[in-house]
Amino acid sequence: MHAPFALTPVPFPRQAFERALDAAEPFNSMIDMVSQDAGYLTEVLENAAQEDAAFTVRRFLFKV
Amino acid sequence: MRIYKDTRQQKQPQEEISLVITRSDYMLHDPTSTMLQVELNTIASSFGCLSTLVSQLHRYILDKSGVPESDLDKKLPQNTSMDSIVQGLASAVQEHGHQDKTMMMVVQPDEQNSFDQQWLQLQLWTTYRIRTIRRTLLDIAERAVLQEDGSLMIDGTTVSLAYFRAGYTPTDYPSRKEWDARTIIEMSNAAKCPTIAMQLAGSKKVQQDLARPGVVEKFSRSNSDAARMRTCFAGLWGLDDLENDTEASNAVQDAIKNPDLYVLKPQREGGGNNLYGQDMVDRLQQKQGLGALILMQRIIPPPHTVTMIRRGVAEDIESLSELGIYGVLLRKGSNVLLNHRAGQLVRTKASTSSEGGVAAGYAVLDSVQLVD
Repeated sequence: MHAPFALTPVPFPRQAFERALDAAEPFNSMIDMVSQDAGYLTEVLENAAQEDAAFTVRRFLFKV
Repeated sequence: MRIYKDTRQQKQPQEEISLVITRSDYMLHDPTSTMLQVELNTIASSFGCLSTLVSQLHRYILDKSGVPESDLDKKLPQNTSMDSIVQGLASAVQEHGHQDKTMMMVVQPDEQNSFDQQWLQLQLWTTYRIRTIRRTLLDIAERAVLQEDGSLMIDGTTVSLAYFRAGYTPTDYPSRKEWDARTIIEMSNAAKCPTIAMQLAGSKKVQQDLARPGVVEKFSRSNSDAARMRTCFAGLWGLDDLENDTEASNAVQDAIKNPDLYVLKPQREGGGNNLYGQDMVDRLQQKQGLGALILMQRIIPPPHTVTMIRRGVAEDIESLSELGIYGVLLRKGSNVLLNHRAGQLVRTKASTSSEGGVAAGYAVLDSVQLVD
């Protein structure tokens, strides 16, 4: 069974597309710096934990 | 989070190799013709290989249907996602340097989308002579061993890179064993794609926090980088301090006047449903308890009719499309060795469907045609 696909490509405005391409390195760099900042990650994710803290912080690992 | 904190204390002193294959997903906001970010993925960003193949397929179809080559060159951008992602994986293996030259792909036990993964394995072998072994978290829990020098061995092989195509959803961790597997990988000197820290950095809560004033700026290389990223953000307003937060209260007023341009979401996962239109207006006018909600700009993509081929059947369906831009970043210790974009992916789904996943059968793979 083949992967589902569209028959022809979707139109996107050139300028908008190129801006998205140009944003890749800045986003990579940003997420890398965030991952290096243990204090920030702990603060954002632990402060958000309420009630059953262990369960709640574990959920933050996931994209649900 | 517990693993993150435990392993940070115990990790090997030699330089950690961290690889991330990101995919930043956008939708075109029709009223302003700008790409607005839907989310930034830092784990198991898939379809990189099938995306390259679909781009090639579309070029072939247009070519056969008579579109002149010069038009094709102008309209169809290159899509290097397969090669770029493979190169990223190979670089991480090479940085690790073990003679076994093996990448361990961490997979789900009943993986349905293995063809996209198999292309990676094939390219890694033919271009770089890198072997791939596929193991589930349970396999790793039961058979992986951490050596004295910090290397990770499983079934007689030393692992240079652990590449996660599993581990991003709670169902991947049904027991304590799977968590132990994740821990042993994290503690080893194998390169990880991604590390736990990188996976946490991609979580929804962090992404919401990054959008707050000053936070993106704190984590940017430059002001121009920060500004570039901010132009991609859809408006996002916390509603817990409306008396003092003029921007948020202006947004609320605008949402009441123009409800189609906004959506009201619960602050926490599982905190309820999104509210649109009149339901949203009614809730905003109630005023109490708004701190549990966030107001977001609604991205309004242009709908278009697409011929979708699914299970061998063609159907014309009104759809909207999401553009993903892949990126590769490789870090060793305190040095960033690679940082570049790595191709693109388009997923097109029926306008009426609420699920966006291609693997779940609701969306199709697509590619980009540029319009000037």
